[in-house]
Amino acid sequence: MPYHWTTPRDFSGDPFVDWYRTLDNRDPAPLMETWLPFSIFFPPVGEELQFAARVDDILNGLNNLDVFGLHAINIHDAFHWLHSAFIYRDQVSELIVFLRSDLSTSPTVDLDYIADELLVALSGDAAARELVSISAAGIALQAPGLAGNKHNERFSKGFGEDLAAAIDRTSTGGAASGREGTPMVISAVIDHGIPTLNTRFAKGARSTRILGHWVQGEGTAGDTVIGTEINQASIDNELVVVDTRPGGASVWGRPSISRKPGNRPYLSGDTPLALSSTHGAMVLDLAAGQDAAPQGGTAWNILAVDLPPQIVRQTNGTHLDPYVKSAMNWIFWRVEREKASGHRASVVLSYAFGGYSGRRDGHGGLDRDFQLRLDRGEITSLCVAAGNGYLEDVHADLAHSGITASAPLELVIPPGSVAPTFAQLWFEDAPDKMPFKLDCSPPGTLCSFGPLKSGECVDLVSECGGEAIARAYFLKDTPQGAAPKIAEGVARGRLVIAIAPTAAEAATAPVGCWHLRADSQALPKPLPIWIERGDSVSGFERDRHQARFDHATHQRFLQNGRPDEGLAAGAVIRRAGTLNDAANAEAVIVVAACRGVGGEHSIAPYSAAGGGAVPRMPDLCTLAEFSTARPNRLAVGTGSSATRALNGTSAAVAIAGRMAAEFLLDPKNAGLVGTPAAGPKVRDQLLAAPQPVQDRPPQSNVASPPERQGAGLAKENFPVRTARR
Amino acid sequence: MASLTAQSASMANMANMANMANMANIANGGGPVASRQSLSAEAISAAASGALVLSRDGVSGYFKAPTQVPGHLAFNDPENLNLWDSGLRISAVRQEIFDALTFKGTTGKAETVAFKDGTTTILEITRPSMAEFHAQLALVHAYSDLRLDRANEILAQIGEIMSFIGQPLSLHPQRHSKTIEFLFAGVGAVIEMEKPLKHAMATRRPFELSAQIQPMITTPAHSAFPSGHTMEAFAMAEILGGIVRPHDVALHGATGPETDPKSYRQQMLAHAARVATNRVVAGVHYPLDSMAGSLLGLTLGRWVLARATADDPKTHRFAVSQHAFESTGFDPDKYKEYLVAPSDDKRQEIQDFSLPELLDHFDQNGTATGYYRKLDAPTQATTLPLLSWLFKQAQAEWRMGEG
Repeated sequence: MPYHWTTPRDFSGDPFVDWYRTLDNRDPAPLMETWLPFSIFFPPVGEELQFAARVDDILNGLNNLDVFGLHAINIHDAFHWLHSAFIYRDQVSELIVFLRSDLSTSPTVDLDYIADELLVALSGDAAARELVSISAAGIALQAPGLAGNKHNERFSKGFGEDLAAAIDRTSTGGAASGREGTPMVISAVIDHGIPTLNTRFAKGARSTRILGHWVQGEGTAGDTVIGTEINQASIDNELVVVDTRPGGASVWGRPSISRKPGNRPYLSGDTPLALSSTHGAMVLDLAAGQDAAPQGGTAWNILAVDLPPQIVRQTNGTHLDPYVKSAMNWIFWRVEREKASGHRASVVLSYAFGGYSGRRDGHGGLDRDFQLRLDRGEITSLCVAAGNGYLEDVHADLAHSGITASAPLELVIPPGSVAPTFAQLWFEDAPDKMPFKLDCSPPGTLCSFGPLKSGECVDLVSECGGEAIARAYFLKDTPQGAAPKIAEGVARGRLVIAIAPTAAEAATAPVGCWHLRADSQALPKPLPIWIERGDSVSGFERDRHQARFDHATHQRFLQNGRPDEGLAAGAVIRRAGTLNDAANAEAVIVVAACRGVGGEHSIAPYSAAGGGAVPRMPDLCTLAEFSTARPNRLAVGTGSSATRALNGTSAAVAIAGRMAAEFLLDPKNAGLVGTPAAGPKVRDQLLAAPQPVQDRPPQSNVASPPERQGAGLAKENFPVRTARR
Repeated sequence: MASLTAQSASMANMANMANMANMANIANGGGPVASRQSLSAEAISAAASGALVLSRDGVSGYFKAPTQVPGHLAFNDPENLNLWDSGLRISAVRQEIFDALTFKGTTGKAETVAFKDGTTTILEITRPSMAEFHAQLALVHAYSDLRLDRANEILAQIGEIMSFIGQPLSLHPQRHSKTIEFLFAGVGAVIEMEKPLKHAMATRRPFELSAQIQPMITTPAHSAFPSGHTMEAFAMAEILGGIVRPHDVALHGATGPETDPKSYRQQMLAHAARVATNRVVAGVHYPLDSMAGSLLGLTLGRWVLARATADDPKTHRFAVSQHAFESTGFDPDKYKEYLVAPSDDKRQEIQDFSLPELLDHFDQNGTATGYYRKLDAPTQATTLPLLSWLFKQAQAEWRMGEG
């Protein structure tokens, strides 16, 4: 079928909206309507785009940043920028609101308050809910109650109260008492499927180590924000119930926490604690699970955030950043309360999410936020997974001389995928106009577009009419989070090619090999291009598939059937430069995965590499796998007595998080806890005396390059039992 | 030539005897019990039987009756069951249960049936409306999320659940032979009684209400409501819990079986609940089927225990617990309106199966929830002699040492 690229007829008709709506409407279960459909694909701030009159200041702010004109606000990108505007417009402001979008039309909710930036921390118990607002005008804390939450009522109480006073009033002890609380190491995770009641996170049958658990995805009818906070006292209460109530923990754990949000029945897409194994269980167990209390006087506690399943399912991370940033805000608020109680506290955050595409220069949305929080000392040590994309064929150099008219770069679009595919092409500078025309053709066709000016957008449509099946747009990507200090980062050109799902009720794109080739004699070199992550994750419906690159010179598998793990640096399809897009901040600890068999260590085959077009590299690696035959690390399943085998750089980063926590828990280091010196000391400790790691076969007798292993294998000092876990 | 004829006749005899032995086995029933019978006594190979004929011919000699006449075995004495083959014992005990428990419609209540012991209603069950089953489709769909995770269990439980329910007890066919016999008698009776109940209820399976449920296993041909797997699983857990109660109490205290989630009874009930949920995950049942099946299984299991322990001062004497399962609070008409035009005032609560809620009702006198209701206070039963005898034999397999 002939296609051609053309200027969209209607700029306001964003095909992304339709594509996401298609996903949204797949599940007609009537109970889902309470908040899920909108907040999956229209997180609250995104929804605000529909209410421009109410968010003029935000949009004006964005325009001032010169990140895009009014021509095409793509949902795919808008969230990042909107939240950047929220967070960085004023360094005092810190805050993100998640408002259920269906309430945006509620007569009882006034949305104007979004202009005042808020941190919301909610308890599942209506009587104990807290609403905290922080702005240049001061700090406000209101509790209880968000019901009937109109703007004026909300701010009529407590507004202007001093932050210290607000924290002190709600803290467990009270700074005014002058009491010196227990030194406290807080292991924090932002993940999914965290089994709150698992005994690995308790310090006895009826007492948890979890200070708080924000289940972002479990909203209930009547809540004005997404999610429910489960505090320590309520977890303790649930543990008592589990320990005593007949049948209480037998099948699911306590329904009110783990299975039925708000005591409603199990629904598709709920936090999957009914599964025997979850990612969040593995990560938190490896990072902070324990069978017996550690020696010494330092307490080991946990803060856990469950990302919404709808956001986790969207593996390209389009909507991930705002939720992660909110999670860190919540962690900050929780830790501040402990400090106000007299505790010295250090926070070790293990972050095991991420994607395949992004700026990767340290100025991405989460990168800037991670750096800021580490600089401020909000987080002592932040470990980020290097990523598992090494063998995914998602990165190529479009300026490679091997890409010709007869051997173009192939973008392989998989069939049966309900998610769109996105490819990002990044420039080192920020030209006003793409310096080339791009051949971007569905299978069996030849069509091209460009050169596009910054802000221009084209759609791919059939000559027979119908909806667009792809869109390309070229923007100057301003370093996210740089406003108002935009000079701190470098604006860079970014071309995004978005291709519709191949299994959808609306527009579907042709499957197979799309051709990409830049048509110019003078291409900027290199011209790196990445495909965003797009597969399904474990525990979710397997209805998404990862697109990949291919080329005439690319050999995915060797003759012996093994993946070709050792692609040369000069190849069209690149292994170097596949590092997690959230692992590029300078101060984070980027953790790669290593396999240890019989005292020999080799890099894990999937563990992503820095280098190439990506300046950042892993800092170190940890043992994420034992055995070649069954490469895994043991961690707890969702049930208290379960053990499951898992691997990946998610396991590796959690191990690093555990090493950091255990270093601080060492009685010798009790004086470090809660001090500015703790972070650098942790880094020094993790990087002390690393062991060399070998490359993968067939080069297993040579050292793995630093782009993959960083400084090498960090030395674990766990007891045998924990090490195997 | 003559010797050849004699040999042919002998072979024909042996073949006949082999046939008879086979028929005896068939008459005793099929399945695992049958295989145990052939091990026990009555089966014999054709070759061995033919040899016995020849051997007797050579040994017994001229027949002469004994001069002394012995007494009878005690009349209708359960102890005589000691002498019986286990398969026949099970048949006798099971028939005693059938004689005591009747199944009939309830006068004055539409689509309601009851199990009665004499004039006492043990269990009364009313068919929920079609709209209630329709409303449960959303839950059946949601549970399909778990299919890959539960596939092993679901496939294994198609044919056999005793391994799962009995897992905490590690049942052994020789060491716990009487316990297993009691299960075959008690749960076997429940399995048989479930059939006319399902026939009466005549409800459609999930695949009949939605083309998108698409079960991962073959849907049984009979009625969905109540869930037979659930009924059997809960009856099995309750009966086993009764048999091992002395052992359970010794480990978990006097009220442990009712209050301690780590007790044998509670662990077995948890397995039963998982079996129930797995059938929903597979797409062949609604949670509503599990809710009814679990109450039925518990109630009938408890009735079996009550009838087995009524005259035994040395053991815990279970009382008959009487229950009803009927819908309250669900408005089918409003639900139908809601489907066409959703609004909060028409939304109907859709109940999911929950073991804690079931046990709150059954064990703890919790407040009645949507479907569970108690009929009368527990009552003491009278004993069924054969059932009682077999129970004592089974419980003897679970004695704890003194001190």
